[in-house]
Amino acid sequence: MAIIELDEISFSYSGEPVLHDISFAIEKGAYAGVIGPNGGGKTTLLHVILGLRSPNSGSVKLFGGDIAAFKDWTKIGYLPQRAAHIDGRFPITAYEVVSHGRVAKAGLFRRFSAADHEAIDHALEISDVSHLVNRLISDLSGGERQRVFIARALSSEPEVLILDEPAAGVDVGSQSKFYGFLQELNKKHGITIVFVSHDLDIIAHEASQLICINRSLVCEGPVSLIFHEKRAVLESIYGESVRLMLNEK
Amino acid sequence: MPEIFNYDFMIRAFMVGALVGIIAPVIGMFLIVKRYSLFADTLAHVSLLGVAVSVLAGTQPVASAVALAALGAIGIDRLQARTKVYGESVLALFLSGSLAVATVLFGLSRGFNANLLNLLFGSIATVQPLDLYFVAALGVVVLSLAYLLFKEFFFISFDEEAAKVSGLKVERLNLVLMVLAAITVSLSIRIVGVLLIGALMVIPGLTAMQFKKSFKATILLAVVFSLLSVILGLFLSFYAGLASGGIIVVIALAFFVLSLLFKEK
Repeated sequence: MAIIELDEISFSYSGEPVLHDISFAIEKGAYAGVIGPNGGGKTTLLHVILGLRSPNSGSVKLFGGDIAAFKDWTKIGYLPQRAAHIDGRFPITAYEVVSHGRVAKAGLFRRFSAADHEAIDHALEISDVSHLVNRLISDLSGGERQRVFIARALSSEPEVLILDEPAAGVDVGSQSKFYGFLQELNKKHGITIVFVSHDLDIIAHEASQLICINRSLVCEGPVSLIFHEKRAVLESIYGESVRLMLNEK
Repeated sequence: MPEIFNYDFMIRAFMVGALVGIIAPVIGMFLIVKRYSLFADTLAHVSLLGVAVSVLAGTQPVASAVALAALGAIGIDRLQARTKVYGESVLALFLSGSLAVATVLFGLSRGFNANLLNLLFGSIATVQPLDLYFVAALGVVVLSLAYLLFKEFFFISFDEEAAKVSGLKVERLNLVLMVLAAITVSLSIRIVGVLLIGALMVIPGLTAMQFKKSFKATILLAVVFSLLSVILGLFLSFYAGLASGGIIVVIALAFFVLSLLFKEK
């Protein structure tokens, strides 16, 4: 079943076209990499998928139903781009950040139940941040902070995890550990992953499905296939780096 | 019993002060972290307009202040959402605009100038019995809603976008928070005064933030500093004949300076 399905999506921002006629589907269990140059409309595309922006034309389906009628937002875990550079003055502990993932699920006027606290503890554990719960988020390293935000997304027990440039502001060592963690979530826990990046190298190594966006859909399909068949297209966007990567492989 | 508790108006002042001392820093904390500290000041001036209207219309002053401030909060929210005017310019517009109208209205009702000073800087002797009932009733409403919607307010203050994605009705929650802020401001006018209520909502929170605790612990600390400031301030106001708002805020400021020293260690 397609978890996310876009059909002929166009979006313009104050008259300026940002997305044009984009269609693709992401199946359950996929690890999709959304890639494109900076300014290519990746974040806007995510906002359309997440319902933060309405497209000018076209339709979005989430879990088989139209987005306008979609209610199960807790099935979607989201790691925003700005997670790495949050307001350092905000007095908030790692535990409090992760607990936010349960707010919508617990419901208005209700306190967290035992099940909510269990889900929070579980998310802390699989994200390997249980030891950080009482630390202020501003005192954590970039890598630790990133895992705390992942834990927040996981605490709502989502079926799909959407990450917008998650590696920004994280050192290289923590990054590779983080990618291993995402693979584990995908393979072991069956969580569908949508990973947005401008870094073709990372997507090529981690994702199974590739979606290239540069205002319109440049190419879409299994990573291995695209690197063989659409090499020229990728090269036209990314130039030399594609050639280097293909030689590596 | 000390002399101070022999006066009905002082007992009323302590009751209103205690309630305001609890609510102001709780709502104020959300304003601080949302980078909205000046919102309280704006609403205080809108409340003053409410009091001015009550003088001419003969309505209950606190009730009029609450009504006008709540409408002001909604107006600010709509204007920021639907026009291209800068957010902080909208605040400036409401602040000076309502002050201007209030001044004109006060001018129309002769002999009000002495009372105006009390409204601006707070005066413990002015808390009427009817005020106490209003403050008690609305104070309980504000505090209960802040408690019941705490996790939602906390989430939207920290990460509005993620809160929206998780399915929370962020715009509606923001509006509720702003109306609660409006009510808090209006209830505090008698004790702290229009010009200083913003300080009581913000300074105890800033003091508490120096201790680097969790959000919940920071709010509790802010309430402690605020209550101490209000209680000490009312005593000093009574015995030394000082304007209550001024001395309360001076004490709150002293706590802030001490907290900076604590942090240096």
